[in-house]
Amino acid sequence: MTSVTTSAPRRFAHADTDAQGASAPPSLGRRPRSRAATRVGWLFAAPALAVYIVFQLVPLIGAFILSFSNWSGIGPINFIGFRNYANALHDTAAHAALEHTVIYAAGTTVAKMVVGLGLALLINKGIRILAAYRTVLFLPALMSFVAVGLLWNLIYDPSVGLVNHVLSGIGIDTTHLTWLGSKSQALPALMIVEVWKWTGYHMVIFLAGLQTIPGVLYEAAAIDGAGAWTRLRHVTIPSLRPITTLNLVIAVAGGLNVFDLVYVTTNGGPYGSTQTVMTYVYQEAFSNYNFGFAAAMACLLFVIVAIVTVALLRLLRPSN
Amino acid sequence: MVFGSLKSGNNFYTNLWGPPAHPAWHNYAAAWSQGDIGRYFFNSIFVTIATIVLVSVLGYLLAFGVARLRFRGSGVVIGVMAITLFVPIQLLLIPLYVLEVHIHLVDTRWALILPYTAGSLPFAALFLTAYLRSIPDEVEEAAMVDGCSRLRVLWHIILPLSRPAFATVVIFTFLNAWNEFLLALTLVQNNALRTLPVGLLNFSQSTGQTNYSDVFAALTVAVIPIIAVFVVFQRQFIEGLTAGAVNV
Repeated sequence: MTSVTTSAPRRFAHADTDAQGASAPPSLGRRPRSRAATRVGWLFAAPALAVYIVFQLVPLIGAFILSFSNWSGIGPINFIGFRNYANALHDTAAHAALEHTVIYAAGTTVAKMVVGLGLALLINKGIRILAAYRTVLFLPALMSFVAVGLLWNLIYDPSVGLVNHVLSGIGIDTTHLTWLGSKSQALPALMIVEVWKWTGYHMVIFLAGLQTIPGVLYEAAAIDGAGAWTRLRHVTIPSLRPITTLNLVIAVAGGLNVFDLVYVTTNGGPYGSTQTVMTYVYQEAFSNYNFGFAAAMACLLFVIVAIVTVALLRLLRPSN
Repeated sequence: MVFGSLKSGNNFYTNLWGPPAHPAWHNYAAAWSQGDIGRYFFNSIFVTIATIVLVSVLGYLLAFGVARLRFRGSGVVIGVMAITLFVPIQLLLIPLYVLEVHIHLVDTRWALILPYTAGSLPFAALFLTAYLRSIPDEVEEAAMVDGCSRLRVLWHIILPLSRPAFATVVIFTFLNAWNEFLLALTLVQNNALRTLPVGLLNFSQSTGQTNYSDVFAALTVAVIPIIAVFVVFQRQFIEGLTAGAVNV
């Protein structure tokens, strides 16, 4: 695991400074090259740019344009200004979907951070059993949400599922625990699956961060008489700030964009209790053919994700 | 304990919940033939490998141009790609669908390969560019003094040095393409071309909620390749994902 800390792009950094010598700053020689090099350069970049522009940039701009229309998939495209956005802001179903999405993203992010960091700390302490489990803990991150969703559909099954099987085994009355079939239990049940799937991933990133903290810091803290909790609060957590920021951004964006898991398990039900923004967008676009309205909501969600991401990056900036 | 037991494999559940009269292998055969899981499996492998090859080749060429040739305008290219790094695939779904209907790409394998490639290119380009920039110019200059052409530098000098970076790019692309669901659900309606995630869902819906053991058999078939690849390349996986996450 130690080589994780020498992450790829930095691997040549020493060679770079060695070769340039102490007198030459590494920025030298980073100017654009000759005109011929520019022509060849564009030639090299052209195939990638072609695919990228057609299948990434054009659809991105297309989504933005569509969001100002009332297009239903056929016929001419009529532009209706900001009406889709106004409708989305006053749509009660959209409000409910946004509320579920925010609860989902906030709850799962907190749980992923706490459990992920906790497990990373334990493994970093050298607790053997957990270290062996590192691989196992990481595996759900590799599974598709479809496989995860189908698996948990069966685990949550009220009559034969594993959860109720275990709970009734230890003497808990499970008659009211229908999980994904219950209006009040479905959303929390899905959040548990989300946390289960991604905690191992965050743990691995935290672990990479923990291994970059110099042991000297802990020794110094120990000499100053700091206990385990003080060391965690004043050494570990501050040192992990960039890693935590990264984990937070990934977790929040993943939570806000939730779609696959809900689509596979509850498809927004029961009674809309797990409808999220993206499942609502999908339903509006491909069941009701309100492409313009759906695009507007997708754009709004994208703006929300972007704002939250930038806010997190600002708040957690190292200079603070 | 829930963690451990759940991941110790779907086999476990097949055995735990399956009717005792049916041995597990029977279910696998059923899932493979009746459920078309074999076909979905092949489609997923085809789409994933094509995407990985395209992303690696196109991404490397672009990164070489940006990092080694430093052509005029390369900063803009990388800047735009960095901005679109976190664009969710859901936002692009509707326009992509419209676009692919118009250029008659819907219901072909390219309907997925090209958007997957485009989606993975920003990360690949940024990551490979950062990596190639860290290789000192002197390496390249020495080769050119020795009479190496630019293409030979690209192929014989820089490419072998970039192998660790490719591991990361391949792993990211592999996970994205193999597990992608939303586009696969929407852009391919022809059952013969469906990929594993959508095929799995179809299979479980048609099998119904009654035949758990078959669904578990299908799930196992879908998950085993990833687990196998992971177990073999475990170190590269974790290092690659961490390097990718920490450096972009």
